[in-house]
This record gives sequence, structure tokens and C-alpha cells, in this order.
Amino acid sequence: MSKYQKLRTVIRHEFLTIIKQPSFWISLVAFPLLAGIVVLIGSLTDSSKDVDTQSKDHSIAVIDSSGVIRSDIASKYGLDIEPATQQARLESDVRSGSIDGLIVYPGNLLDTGSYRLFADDTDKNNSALIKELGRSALQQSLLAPLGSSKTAGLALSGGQASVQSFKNGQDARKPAQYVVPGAFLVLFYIILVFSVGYALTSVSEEKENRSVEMVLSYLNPRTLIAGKLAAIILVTLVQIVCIGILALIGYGIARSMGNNVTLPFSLSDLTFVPAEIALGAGFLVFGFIFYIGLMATIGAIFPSAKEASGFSTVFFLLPAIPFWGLDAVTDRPSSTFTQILTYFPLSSPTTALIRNAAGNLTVGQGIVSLLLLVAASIAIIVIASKAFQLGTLEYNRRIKLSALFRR
Amino acid sequence: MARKTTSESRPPAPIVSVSGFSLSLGGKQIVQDLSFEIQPGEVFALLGANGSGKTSTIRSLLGIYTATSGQLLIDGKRYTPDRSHLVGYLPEERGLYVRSTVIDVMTYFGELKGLDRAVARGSSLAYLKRVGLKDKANLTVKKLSGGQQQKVQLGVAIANDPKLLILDEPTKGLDPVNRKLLLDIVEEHRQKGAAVIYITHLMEEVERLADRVLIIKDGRQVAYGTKAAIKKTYGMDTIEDVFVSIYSGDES
Repeated sequence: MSKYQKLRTVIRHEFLTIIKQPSFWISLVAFPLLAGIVVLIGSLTDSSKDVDTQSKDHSIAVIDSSGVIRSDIASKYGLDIEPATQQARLESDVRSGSIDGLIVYPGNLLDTGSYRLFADDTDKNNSALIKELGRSALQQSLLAPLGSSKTAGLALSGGQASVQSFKNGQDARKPAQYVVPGAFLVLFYIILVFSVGYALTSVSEEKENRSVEMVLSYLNPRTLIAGKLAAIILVTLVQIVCIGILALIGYGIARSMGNNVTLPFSLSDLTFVPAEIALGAGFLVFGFIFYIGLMATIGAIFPSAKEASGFSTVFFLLPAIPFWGLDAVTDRPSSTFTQILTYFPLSSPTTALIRNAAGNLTVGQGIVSLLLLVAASIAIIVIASKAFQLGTLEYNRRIKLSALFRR
Repeated sequence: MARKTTSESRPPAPIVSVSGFSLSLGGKQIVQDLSFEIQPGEVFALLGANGSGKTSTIRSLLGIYTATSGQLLIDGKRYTPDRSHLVGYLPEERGLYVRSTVIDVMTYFGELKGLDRAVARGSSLAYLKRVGLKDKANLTVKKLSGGQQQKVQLGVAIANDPKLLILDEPTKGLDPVNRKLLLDIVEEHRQKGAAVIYITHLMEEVERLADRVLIIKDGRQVAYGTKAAIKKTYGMDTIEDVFVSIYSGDES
């Protein structure tokens, strides 16, 4: 049996082993589902969405000593305008639950901009609705003299500005220009969160369940490691496709519920710069290979999956460092901090991908950083193979780091 | 300790040929100047106390360890994993993919040993039927008892009818019924021409199965030959007596 046939066998076995686990599908679906539920709950509890409708089901009184609130606006929201002399009684009614709320606009409203709200939250939380009603009634009453709702809307929104900005004498990036190179950063993080851990589990479980010695009598350790890594790449592709499908389903559901989902940029403004795409793809691929190689090494060094998992946590923090120093990475590319992060393999994928999206990574810097990452990826795969081979010696102990570099 | 070797008539083309083999690991001498041959169709008992170098010798034979010096050949060549169809190995450290199903694990190893996927699956099912585990084929390995997992692992070792079976304490932990079943299977493979390296601490198995014996102590060869020749050399009635004598430093 040729090495390539064995590699194919290993890839299929590892791929099927991962995707046959219920935990794979649970984690894959759970994250987008939770995100969707959070958005859904947010939209359902957002009283501003249908404040007109909700207010009709409530008894809410208004006392307007300022004379600002228009009766037609109050009527539109189903608010009962009461004389100021009734304030004490109405407050008492809210306290006892006879009415749901009271909005009191004082005579000096235009000077202070302040007004009071009273809400009965006994059976349900009315505060948010009454706050929104108070704001809407005041806002619309003030804007009504402007005339049409279009004019009022423009006054409220401030209009849509088309910005042309400059940085160091050059045209600064428009939001749409971040999208294509930024997509590689998003993909890298999805991979880091969802897939890289499989390399750790796959290797450490092999060692923990004692199958490694038998496996290595039939397989070259490099073939085994390469098969595992290739299987994880396939698993990652499955995950990306599934997340994409779930996102499309979520988008369809949001549209069918009447939500106007719009992108913060126009698709026609997207730019496709070959150098940015090539660097983005390079850092994505080799960042992925480097990290799964690193996790495979950690999995092989430690005697149990639990110990390996604990130790690996620190390596998931390193790619996040560029986000903590985001201002420096995006605005001060020549700073020592940014330079170190750009060329150090543990942080270079995220740093370079951020800089690539921000447009401050030159092609020369990108190539040097990428070459270092490629070299580190090859080295870590070789080390992972060695660690895996040595793992057969040490079932119950951690492999010494010095042993990994001994011939 | 003096090395005692009994002369043998040597048929051509041994399946295993080890000469002048030494191994050091981490600066420690594990095996020193070991030489032996194994013929097709014979059961070769590799004996020694814990830590004597038996498992290290097997790992070196399979290329998992790199010998410091000497030559270790299987079927005339140094073993590499691309010749995995030649060998079936049941290591002392038992282990299978516990989250995979029994049939998936057996099929996977069958493929790694050069079988076509469908053939590997078919022969695995036939083996499972023989050892009374056919109804467990689609269960995950972790749901099997220790003895059942051991039978599955033996099935993996004998897949594709290897020329050399290496069994490291194969009956450890088995009840008498399954022990007999396993020994019957080993005997069948021997009769089909496979050589068997049999590592055990159970001397009655050696008396029953082995054609020739190698006893090592502290990584050195101390007795090598047929059972009868070794017993005669040491003037004792059983291999167990010889073994105890060697390890108590009381051999005559």
C-alpha cells in the first residue's frame, strides 16, 4: 500500500471520526443559534420597534404643563392628556396599578430638557415602553412644525454623508475597502475558535487511549500527522459551509419577519486588490497550519487530553494581542510593538491580517512575515511528528522539550 | 553473566533476522548485542523480566525506535510502515479508538495493512462472528469490556494474514475460554506459515506453544534455542525453572 493510499485512509478515518461525533454538530449549530436567539430576543424586547401598537394596550396618562406636546401626537400613541391638578391622583393610580404609567412634562421643559416618568412594573416591565413613549411624543411634537415626515426624518437622522477622508496625504480607506481583506481575518478567527482544538484532541486522545504504538507500527508518524491535519482542514471547510448556510437561513428568517437587514456598505464599492487577497489567503492558510501543528505538538507532549488542553489555553490568547493593541496596529504600523507582532509567528497571522485589512501592510513586509510563518509552520509540523513518535515512549509523563530537538 | 547459545540447524530465509542489535535511550543502555533469527511457521517465545528490553526490541524491530547499532530485518529488509502487510502487532499497551465503532476501527486498520476497504470490512465481520462479537460491530469501542477490546485488537493484528505476528502478553486479563480461543487462533496462523513472536510471563503457554525461546536479562541474551536444548543446557525440567534460575542468579 503506497504512502498516499495510507494518507487518504487516515484522512477519511480522522474526518469521519470528528464529524460523526454529536458534539461536533452541537458546537457547530449552538454558536450561530445562540447568536440568533440573542438577536431575536433583542428585537422582541425592543419596545421602540412597535411602540405605537404596544401603547394602545396600556393606560398611560400625560400631564403637559409645557404646552409642547401636540394633542394629535398624544392621541396617535393613545395617551390621555390630563390637567396638572390631577398629578397627585394619577401618581397614586400608577402606584396602585390602576393605570400603567404617567408622563409629566413640566412648564420649564424647554429650559431644562427634563421630564418625569412613573411606571407600574408589577406584572410586566412598563418602564421601557413609557420611556420610549415619552421620548417619541416629545420628539415628534417638536418636529411636527417642520412639515412632512420626510423632512422630520431627515432632521432626526442628520442625513447620510458621503465622506472622503485623507491620511498622510493619501485617500483613507472607505468601509467597503476593509471587507475583502477583512474577510480573511474573520475566517481565520472562525477557524481558530472552531477547528484548531481538534488537532489537540485528535493527537492527545490517540496517545491517551494507547492506540499510538499499534498505529505507528503500520504508519509513518509524518503520514499520520499529515492525515490528521488534512482531515481537520476538511472539517473546517464543512464548518465554514455550514456556518454560511446558517447565516443565510438567519438572513431569510429576519427578512420574513419584516426586519430590514442592510449591509453597512454597498456591494458595488467592494474592492479586490490582488496583493491583499494573496497575502490574506497566505496568512489564513499558513496561520491555520501553524496553529494546528502547534496544537498537535502540545497534544503529543502531554500524557492526557486534559493536561494538554489546559496548557494550550495560553496559545489561544496570543493571537488576540493585536486586538488589545488595535490602535497601534492600525495607526502606528512602524511602532516596535506592531513590528514584533507582525513577524512573531504566534501573533503574525492576526496582526498581518488586521494590517492587511487596514491597508498599512506593505507587500514587502507581508512577504517577509509570511515567509517566516511558512518556515515556522514547516518546523512545527516536523516537531509535531517527532513529539508524536516520542509519545509512544512516554504514556504517563510529559515529553521533555530537549528530546524534541535531539537527533 | 555467561551467554549460553544452543546451536541450531538454520533453514534459509528467516522471517526475522536480528544481528548485533544494541539500543541506547536517553543515555541508558537498553539492549546490548542481541542476535537471533525466527523461521516461518514457528512460535518464538521472547522472555525476560519487566524492563529487560523485550518491548524495546520489538519497537526497534518495527522501526518505532532506532537501533544504536546492529541489523534488524523482517523478510530480508529493514521494516518500514509501507511493509505493514507483513506484520500484525498486539502491543502490551492495549489501545483502540474508543469513540469509533468496532467495525470502523477494524476496517481502518485492515486498510492500513493493505486490504481493500470492502475486504477489510468483510473479514473483520467474519472475525467478529468467530469470536462472538458480531452483535457488537456497530457499538463504540468504549462500550466493550476489556476482554472484548482485547479480542478486537487481536483481530486487528491478524488482519491480512501477516507473515509475522508479534503478540505481547496476548492472554493477559482473559478468562480461560477466551484464552483458549485466542491460542487456537494463534495456532491456526502458525499452521498457515506465520511466524509468531510470543512475549509472556506465563511459562505454561511457553511450554505449550513455543518452538524456540530467547531469554534476555538486562538487555543481554542469556539463553537461546529450542526448549529442549535450553532445558538440557541448564539441566532443568522446565523453562520456568530455567527462567527462575537465570533471574535468581543461580543457573549452573
